[in-house]
Amino acid sequence: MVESVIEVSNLKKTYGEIKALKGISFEVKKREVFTFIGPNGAGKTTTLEIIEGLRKKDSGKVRVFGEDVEKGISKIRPKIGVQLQHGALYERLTVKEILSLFASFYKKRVNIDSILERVALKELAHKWTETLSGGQLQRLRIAATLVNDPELLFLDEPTTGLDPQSRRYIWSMIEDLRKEGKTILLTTHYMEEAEKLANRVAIIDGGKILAMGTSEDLITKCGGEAVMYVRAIDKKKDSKKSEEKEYRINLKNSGFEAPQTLQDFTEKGMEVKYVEIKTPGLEDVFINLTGKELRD
Amino acid sequence: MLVKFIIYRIKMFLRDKLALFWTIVFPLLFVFIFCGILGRSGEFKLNVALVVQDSGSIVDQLVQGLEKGEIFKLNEGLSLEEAKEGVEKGRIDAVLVIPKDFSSSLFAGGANLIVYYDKTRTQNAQIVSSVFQQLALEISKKTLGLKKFPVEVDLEGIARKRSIENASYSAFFIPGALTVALMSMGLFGVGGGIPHEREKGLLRKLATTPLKKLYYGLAFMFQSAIVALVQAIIIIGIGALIFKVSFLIKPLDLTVILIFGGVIFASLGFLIGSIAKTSKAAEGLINVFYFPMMFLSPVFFPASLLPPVIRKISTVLPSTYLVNVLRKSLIMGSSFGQIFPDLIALGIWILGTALLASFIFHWAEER
Repeated sequence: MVESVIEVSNLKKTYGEIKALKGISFEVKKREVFTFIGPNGAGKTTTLEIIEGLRKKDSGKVRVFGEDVEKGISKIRPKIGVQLQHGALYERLTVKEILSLFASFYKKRVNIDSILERVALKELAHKWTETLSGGQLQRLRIAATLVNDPELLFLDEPTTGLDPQSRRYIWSMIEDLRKEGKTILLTTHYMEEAEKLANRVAIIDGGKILAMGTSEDLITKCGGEAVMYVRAIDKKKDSKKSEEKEYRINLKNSGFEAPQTLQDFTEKGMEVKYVEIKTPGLEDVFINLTGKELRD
Repeated sequence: MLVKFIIYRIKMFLRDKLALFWTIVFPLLFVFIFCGILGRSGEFKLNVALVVQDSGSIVDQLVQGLEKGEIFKLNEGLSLEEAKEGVEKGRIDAVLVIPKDFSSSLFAGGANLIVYYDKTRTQNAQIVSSVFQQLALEISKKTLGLKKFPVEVDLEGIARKRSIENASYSAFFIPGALTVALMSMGLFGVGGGIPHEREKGLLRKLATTPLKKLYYGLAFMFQSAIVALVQAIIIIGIGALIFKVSFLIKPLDLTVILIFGGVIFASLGFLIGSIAKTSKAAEGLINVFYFPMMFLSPVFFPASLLPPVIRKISTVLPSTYLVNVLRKSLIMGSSFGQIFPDLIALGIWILGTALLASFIFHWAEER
């Protein structure tokens, strides 16, 4: 059996009147990339910050590396790396100084130059962090979580607000980290990110986990049917009046019936101009589960 | 862990132009304004007391010559005792005595003149005696037809009694300016710095690392103590070079005082930064401490000029203890035993504020 790095059961948290977490339970296994997807205010960051020891829970159990978070946080901290959703770095230190400062807080340290190379900031090593672009700064923030060679990484929306190129670069960094055997707890509101990086996904909304599993499982269970869009002209009618019409067909049998459906069109005397089959993704899983679009 | 944090804190301080302005340039502006206006400045004239015990035409001519020459600021009519006391208290630079038998000895072939001066300033005695001899030679050429003027000058050094009351305004004010500089570093640098780091999310990030709160606090204390030494070198240096203040510097005592001074305001700043959650709240709280400490303690003016009520308030402020101990050591050259009680008072302030801050300070606040 694979060892659990994080175990959370029936976690609850309220802020005044607002119930932020209404009983959340999940486990993250060693070497797994576990991803939380959900809109703003769903409870992703609250969950992460309780696990990181930054917030106190109201009730429930939270264990990391088998240690209770509230009692054993000092044993946990040396082995984790945390990239918070918000938060700047010291603006008047250079890129290299930032990493060297954070490394100094740990007994176990990684060579700073090797980190700089891995996050492609070697050229900027001697620049003050206040001169970095958004993408560069985000790479540095992730780099700062790697100085102690952590076993467990928390990445809270690491690509939010970044341009596509920076986003892809960070994805490749996370993929490399997964290959090295790091356990990663990631939050995002980009479906593509979750589909690309996560071993398992938990869909969270309104302080509850609505569904959890591999993306494929979730799509099969909750994604709904594939849809075929066909644009065709009815040849039987008066050719002057005939015009292109769009048809939407739900494919109940995972798309295997598509060739037959197209044949039906021709047999009915219609000329098919355009065909598109849309298979469901996590986005559809999310819409089906919550009844709302994720992008906000 | 701690050493690197201290080094980087100092680096960040040196790279922050605004911080450098408030902690070094701003107190120096005070020095230039206050010492420039109230301290001795402008043309340099020695303050010389002339004590005439003899009479006669040659003596009259000499006195007139000195009066006309306007080389010295001349004080006449003091008794010898009064004049010597003036030197002891630093009000008079030198005393020129024309003794009783001056004229008669002169015609007998050799007279003596006595110059009393502040022992630490031999150059003053030399200026006074050479000016006098120059003048006397001119007079003797004209009236007596002599080529030489047979006068010997006896130089007698007087030990100056150092006291804060007798110090020049510049000597008095510079320890005050240094106190303001240390206050700015601790209150604005540390007290304003912590809420700034909190707002930027840096404290939450630090909270996820094994860094201890104690080390976070200590880094500020060490930083402030080291910066205090630099501030002192610059401010005392400018006082000595530009405003000609002669301080009695005991390097070891002064270092200890400056460490206490740097740490007390850093500790108070840490307390403010722990209470205030935002920069705005911190700003208000800093001013609650900063301005009273600047104006209610004897930073600019001696405590004797403060109204009795304020004098009472000032006796509890850490700035009062710091400025007093700096003056005692720098102006009077007090021994370590004499400054020890002030250091104890500062130590109590440090312990109290640091202890309170350690209870109040939290990395991350629940929202």
